[in-house]
Amino acid sequence: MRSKDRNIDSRFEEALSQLREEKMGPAEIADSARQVEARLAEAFGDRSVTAASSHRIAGCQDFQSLIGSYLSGELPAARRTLLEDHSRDCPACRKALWSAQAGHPIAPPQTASTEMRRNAWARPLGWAAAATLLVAFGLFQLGILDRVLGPELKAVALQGQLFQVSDSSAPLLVEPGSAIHHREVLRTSPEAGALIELGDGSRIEIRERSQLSLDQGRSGTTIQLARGSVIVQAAQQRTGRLTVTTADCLVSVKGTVFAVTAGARGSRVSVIEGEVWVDQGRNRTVLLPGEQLSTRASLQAVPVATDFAWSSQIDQHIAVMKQLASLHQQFAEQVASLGLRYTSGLLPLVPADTKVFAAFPNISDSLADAYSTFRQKVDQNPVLQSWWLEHQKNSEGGPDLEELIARVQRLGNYLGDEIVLAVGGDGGPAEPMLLAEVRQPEGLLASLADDLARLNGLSEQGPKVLLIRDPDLPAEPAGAGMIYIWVDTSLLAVSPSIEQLRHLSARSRGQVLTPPPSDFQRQLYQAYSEGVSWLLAIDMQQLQDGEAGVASIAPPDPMQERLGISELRAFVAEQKSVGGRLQNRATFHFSGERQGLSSWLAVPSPMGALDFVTPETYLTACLAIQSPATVVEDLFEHLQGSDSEFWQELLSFQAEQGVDFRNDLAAALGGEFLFALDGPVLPKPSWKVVAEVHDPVRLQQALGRLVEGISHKMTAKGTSGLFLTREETGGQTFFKISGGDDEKEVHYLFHQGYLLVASSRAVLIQTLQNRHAGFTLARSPEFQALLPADQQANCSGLLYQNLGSMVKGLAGYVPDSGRNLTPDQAQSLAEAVAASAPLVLCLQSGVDRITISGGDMGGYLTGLTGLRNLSHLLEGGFPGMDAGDAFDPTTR
Amino acid sequence: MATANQEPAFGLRPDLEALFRAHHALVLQTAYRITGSVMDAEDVLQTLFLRLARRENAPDLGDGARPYLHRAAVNLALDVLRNRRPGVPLEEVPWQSLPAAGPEPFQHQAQEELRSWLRKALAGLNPRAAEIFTLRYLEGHGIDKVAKTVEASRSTVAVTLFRTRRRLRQEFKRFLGGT
Repeated sequence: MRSKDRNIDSRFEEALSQLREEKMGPAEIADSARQVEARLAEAFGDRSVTAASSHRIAGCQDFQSLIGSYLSGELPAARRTLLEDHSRDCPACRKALWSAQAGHPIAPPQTASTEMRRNAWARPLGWAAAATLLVAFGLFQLGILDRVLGPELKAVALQGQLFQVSDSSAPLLVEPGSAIHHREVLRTSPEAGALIELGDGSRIEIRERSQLSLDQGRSGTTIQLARGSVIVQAAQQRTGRLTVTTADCLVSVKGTVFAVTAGARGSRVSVIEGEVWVDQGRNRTVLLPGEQLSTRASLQAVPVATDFAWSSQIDQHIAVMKQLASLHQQFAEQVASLGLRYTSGLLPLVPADTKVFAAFPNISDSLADAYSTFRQKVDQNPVLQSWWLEHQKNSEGGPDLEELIARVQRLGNYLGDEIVLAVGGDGGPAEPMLLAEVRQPEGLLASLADDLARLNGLSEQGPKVLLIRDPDLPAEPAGAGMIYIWVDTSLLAVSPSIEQLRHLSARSRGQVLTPPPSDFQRQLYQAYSEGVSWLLAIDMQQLQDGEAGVASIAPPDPMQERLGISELRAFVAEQKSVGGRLQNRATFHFSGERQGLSSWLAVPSPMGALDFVTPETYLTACLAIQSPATVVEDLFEHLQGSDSEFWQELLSFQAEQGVDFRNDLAAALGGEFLFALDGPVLPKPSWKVVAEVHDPVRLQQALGRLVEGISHKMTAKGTSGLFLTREETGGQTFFKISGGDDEKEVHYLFHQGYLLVASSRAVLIQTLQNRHAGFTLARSPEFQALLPADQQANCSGLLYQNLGSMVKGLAGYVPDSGRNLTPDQAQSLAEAVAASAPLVLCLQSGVDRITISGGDMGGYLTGLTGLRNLSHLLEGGFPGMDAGDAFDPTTR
Repeated sequence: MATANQEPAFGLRPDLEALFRAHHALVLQTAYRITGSVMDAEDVLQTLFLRLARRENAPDLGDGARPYLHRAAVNLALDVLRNRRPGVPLEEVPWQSLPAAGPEPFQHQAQEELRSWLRKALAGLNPRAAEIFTLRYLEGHGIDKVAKTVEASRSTVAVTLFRTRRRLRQEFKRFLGGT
């Protein structure tokens, strides 16, 4: 009975606690405040709104005075259109609008009197110019000037319900096959979208309830999207660009597939293929496939897929995404299947003073095989076939991918298994040199001669490429702007320096005495002894010393010393297949014991903090520090030297509050620190921080004093202070720090030598339960299998990210039906993302080196792009919702 | 549009505009915590400032503006709960509260039911008891502060809290299927 009562009490407390913890986010508060402001303005009849909508527009000054109301969405539709049209054509007003959109205060419009004061004698000229501009403006407004100077708009309605709207007459249905005219205001019905085709083959798919007009100028076609969404499949633009303008951004492309949504809260641009430029004020952002941009923070991101989910071609978009992921996977597998190279015939031929050395396998066959399989899949799938044909059509005039791959394969067949790029100078200025062993010199020469004839004929501007038979022959021309290709019986070398090729020739014929290998070269030989596939090595010592060797007499840079990179000797990065899996490894070699920041890292340890994370985590970062107290000492030393004022403040704060950061906080901590996103993904990710603690009592006392001190300072500045509360539940003490004007909360507890901090008490409780049940990342067989294969059982740091886990976490929120994206389509998208492997990066420190190793990052990056689509889809609500409605309960 | 941090332009008197700028977040958060709905929180904020603006002689709040607005927000939000129609339209479901804690969907559902029950129970309380209970257990005020806010003695507040809590607990037990 008592137990039942306790359970009721506990659940009652839990319900109360949940209510207490419910909070609006800062963006929601800002949005809500704006909503209420608007309603209050309506209730009180805001004079500024009335004025903006009533006075007569006489010129730029009046247009600029409307910008404030325009941005707030209070400008009537007619004036909005006028301002949009005018600012598109008037640089001064466009600049003023962009500046206001970028958040800069709206400058008072320039009056005629200020202009005259600036340049009074130019008044007659000014009037003449103004008259000309006025006439031009009038003609432009009537569409006459633009039609005279610019090309004619060629656009036709293909299908759907499209209406031409005007102030003077009822909406007029635009029949499929009808021409669209310059600046006609077009609107789709509430039930159905429409499709328009431009003269160049570009297609504009318009969502229901959207409004736009088309404008043809000399610089290309502009789609003025007043509201709603469009998906644009832009054909390759021969001259100019295809542009979409919304109230707060300008999107321009040469040839691609992208979606634009414009609403009262801003605009959002999503890209599925090609490259898109988005201009907002002075800022330009370049978006690539899978990327998205919202013009305002309050307009939440949604998945790229959501922005395309209403399209009639959604199946094609999903198929393409899956196919590209599969292509990458296949290519990675083929590359992984290439054997390791344990020796190199090219390494002894590189200059003794080589600063950069890169070696990679000859993958021409793998590339051609992957492409061939890809084409087979495209041919077998009608959806992909249609996409591929469209893609080819849009890429007309660009490089032919098929031909390019055929050439690479043909060339690769004449070469050996390894290709090397080395940058060195043989005593002279450092120049790059490409080296490869040759299997069939005659075939290679014939193929190169053919390719070079084409290459040199393409441009007069670029460097001339010259095929030579013997660099030692004086007859060979020399000079700047040349690239020499030397093909010997067993060697191919490419270099811009004929001198370098002569040195190479001497080395390859054994005509010079080979000096003993440098430290850098020894590291390269060491790498080959362990097996090499892809290798990049940089001699940092030589790079730092510079050409003239001034570093030997120059004092060391204090910042470099502090970071510990002044002792950096070499950087070696490798990718190779171990046990059929791709492994990446990067090693920083130091010339002695690690110094400065790099010395903070502890030697590999067991990482007990990983027991506080479940295998379902989607991001975990863990680090082992040698000594937190030393870290604080180093930071203090830096502060003392760089910001003495802050240093003094810090000292007085410590003295006032009786908190010693080094001895009370840092010295109480152990060496392990972990951050994880682990738990429910929505609405806000559950985060946790775990730190090893040697002396929890001392740490808690110090934290108490610290909170009190910070709270005191906050209240002195007029903001709400902080509160530290504790509560005993189920034999565990929970602490909570809360307060501040934004009323944030942080919860923490101490457990078996660790401090566990989290976003909510529920996360803390769940973490302890999972740890007790052994449901932890460290014990997960899948995680263990992902760890890089090396001789170390432990590591000094670890980064783990699992996109599939995030998909699983989000999957519960996928709607079953009733949305535009069918369950099959949602499932396909989820599978495309989940197919990507988790990412594990391990950090290992030795006395004189730090190594980062991990698995196939290419697969991870592909998955990341896919995840962006899916996670946005899920967290942004559901397909079919309007832009900006995602998780925004303010929407009515 | 002017944001909460920019120059005002929505027709309120300057003193009320300043109050709006300084305390809109407090009012919204308080109302949201009690009602669980952003729209209701907005309504509370709007109603509060409309009422203040329509008073011919606005109170001179001085330094007491924050507690005044806080208490007003609590009472207006409780009014909203009392006037709430049964059933919440789908578009008003507070999406952001669905996965508050626990990994399983059914847990979210159960937690949402508990919160919903508690809000209904608050709406059924005597207004003064509801205010005192809310200030103490949802807004986290100490008993002395609650007593000062509602202008009652400490013992009155303590007794009201005890009785209200006992009543809610009994109702909660019935809700969970106990006797």
